[in-house]
Amino acid sequence: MSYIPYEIITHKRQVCSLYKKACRTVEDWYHYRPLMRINIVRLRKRFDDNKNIIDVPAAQELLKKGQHELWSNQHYYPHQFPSSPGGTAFDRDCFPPDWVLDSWHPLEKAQYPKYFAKREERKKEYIALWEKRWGKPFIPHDEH
Amino acid sequence: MIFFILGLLLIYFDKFYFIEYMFFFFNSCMVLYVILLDWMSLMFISFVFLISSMILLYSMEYMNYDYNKSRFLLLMNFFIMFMVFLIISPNLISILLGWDGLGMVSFCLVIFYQNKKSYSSGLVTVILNRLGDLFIIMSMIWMLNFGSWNFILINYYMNLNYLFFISLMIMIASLTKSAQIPFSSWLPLAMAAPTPVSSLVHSSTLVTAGIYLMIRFNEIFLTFSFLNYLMVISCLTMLMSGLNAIFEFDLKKIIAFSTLSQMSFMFMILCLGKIDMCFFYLLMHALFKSMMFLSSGILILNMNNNQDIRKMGGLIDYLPFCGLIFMFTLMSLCGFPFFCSFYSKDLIFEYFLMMNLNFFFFFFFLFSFLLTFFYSIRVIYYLLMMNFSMFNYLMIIKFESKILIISMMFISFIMLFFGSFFMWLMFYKFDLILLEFKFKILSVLILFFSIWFFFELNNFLFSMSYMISLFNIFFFGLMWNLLFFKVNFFLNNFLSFGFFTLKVFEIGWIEYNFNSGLIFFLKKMIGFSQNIFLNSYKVYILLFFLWFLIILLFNY
Repeated sequence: MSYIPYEIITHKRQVCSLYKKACRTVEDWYHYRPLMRINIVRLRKRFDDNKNIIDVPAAQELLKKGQHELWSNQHYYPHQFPSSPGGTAFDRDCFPPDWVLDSWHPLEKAQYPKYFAKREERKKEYIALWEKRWGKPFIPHDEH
Repeated sequence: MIFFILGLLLIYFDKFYFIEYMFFFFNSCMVLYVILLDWMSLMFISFVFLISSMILLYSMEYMNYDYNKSRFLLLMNFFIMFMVFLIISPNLISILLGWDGLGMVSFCLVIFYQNKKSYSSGLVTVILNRLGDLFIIMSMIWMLNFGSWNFILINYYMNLNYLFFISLMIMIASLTKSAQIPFSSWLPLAMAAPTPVSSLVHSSTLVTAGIYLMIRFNEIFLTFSFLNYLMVISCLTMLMSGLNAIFEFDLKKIIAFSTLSQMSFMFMILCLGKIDMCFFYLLMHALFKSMMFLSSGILILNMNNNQDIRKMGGLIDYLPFCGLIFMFTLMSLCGFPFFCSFYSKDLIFEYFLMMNLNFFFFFFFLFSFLLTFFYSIRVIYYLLMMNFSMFNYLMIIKFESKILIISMMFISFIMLFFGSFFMWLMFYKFDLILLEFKFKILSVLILFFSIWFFFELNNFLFSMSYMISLFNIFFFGLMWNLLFFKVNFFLNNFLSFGFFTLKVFEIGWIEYNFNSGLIFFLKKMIGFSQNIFLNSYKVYILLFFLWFLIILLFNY
């Protein structure tokens, strides 16, 4: 896999996110709550044992091992929160943006004459406001 | 209600009406719309109207806070209209009207929530349904040989051996609509639709259309040998959907898989030749399945759109009425005594035991019965019995409004008390069933065995990832890998193939060398031959010199 890392994630953050993902995986596999809790406690114990390792290559090796273990124990149907990406209710209500109205056909616009007349006025006002605040936009004119 | 009473009258008098409405008459060509009213279609229409009216009442409250409420109601009404078109028509063209309309409107309803997920699942739905339309059109073309599209007339007057292709095509079409095994991936994916839609789709309209078509065409089907293959397909679908329902965690998808297994159950009965029983089970299934979806809709609404059954639990304390109805529907899915589907399912079960089928069918039938019990017990356990998970304490709104309850109350009343009533109406001729005591008690034994099996295996199956190798769980959990019929499949194969053809044939080297190259070459050649035919002297002189050269060279 060749990709550009746009962010350097520290070792500490990697370990923390590994712990969180492992907890989620345990939640996926064990549905009886006491069983789930005790497994998470055991997991925490495993993380805490290696908390004070100063040797960096050994710690990285441990992190790699942990990530591999997480991957090999992944759940086939991980729980996804409904309104977060991948969930069932994600992006459920979509609102078309305002500029869609500009792309209407003149015939369609003619059905609501009052509204569109007012809309044109508002657009002009908005442009005036914008220019007053930010100045005129720089438009590179064609010299060729 | 009117349709129901009419249907009862037609059962009583054993008649059917055949109404032809002529649109216009042109050059001795009549354009007709034919309506068939017999007890079957009238009973089915009455059930469709009953369930859909209750669902519309329900969705008035359920979709109250949605922004596109009017669009939703309009689409639902279209859906019901097309279903009625399909039910009352004996003519293959008007069946295609309803069939195609169902596919289109189901697409619009699946993509009602306009996010990526529902769009991809809607595409799968519409593509697989179009496949079914294609087979119907092919059978229509073959029917041109016989001079009429009214299959009922053909059933009676044709030699059945000519109808092999028609019945094959229609079988495949109904397999796509009822989501049997090669085409079954769209049914759980169509759960992206709002809950009232999936209630309507799964109970009485879309998926039952395939079976209804098979029931209509029964006189052709029951003579052919491919019923065995159909039976194997339905057996495998039943097994697959049962196993998947065990490994699935999405509440709506579990119910979708149960619908799939019941559909294949109906196909199986149809293959055994018990059409009345199949139809009766279709109606009963419509009743309890719609109730199941409606109550699960209330559960999902209260869990703030969460559909994962792992995060539910202990709901009987919070939503007692809804949980109760959910439990009743699951019990009637299992065929619990004196619920509506007991009268059909138990009868079918006993018929099946009397049938003298081979061990394969017998084993798979019983095993999928066990799986049905198993997953319904699992859902009851997870929803109602399991101790709470924190999630529902945080999220619960406790929303059981009056309209929702009234809309559910009516059908659940019918579901609970009217099963025997319908049975006495439909089967006025009684059949004798002779069974040994152990066979008679077999279904109860299976029930108890599955309860034991569930509580014994629960921790083993769903908690210990190390016990079963991961491949197997992935295999069962993801529909026997049948989900390759996803959008990615179409994208990766067909669209990339289209891009390849565009690149190579349309704008690539083949175009340069063959198509436009050929035109260029021909232009040149034609110009050359035109020059020859202009009778100019230079050509004659050239020919003369050539001839002279040949003489000089070879005249030794």
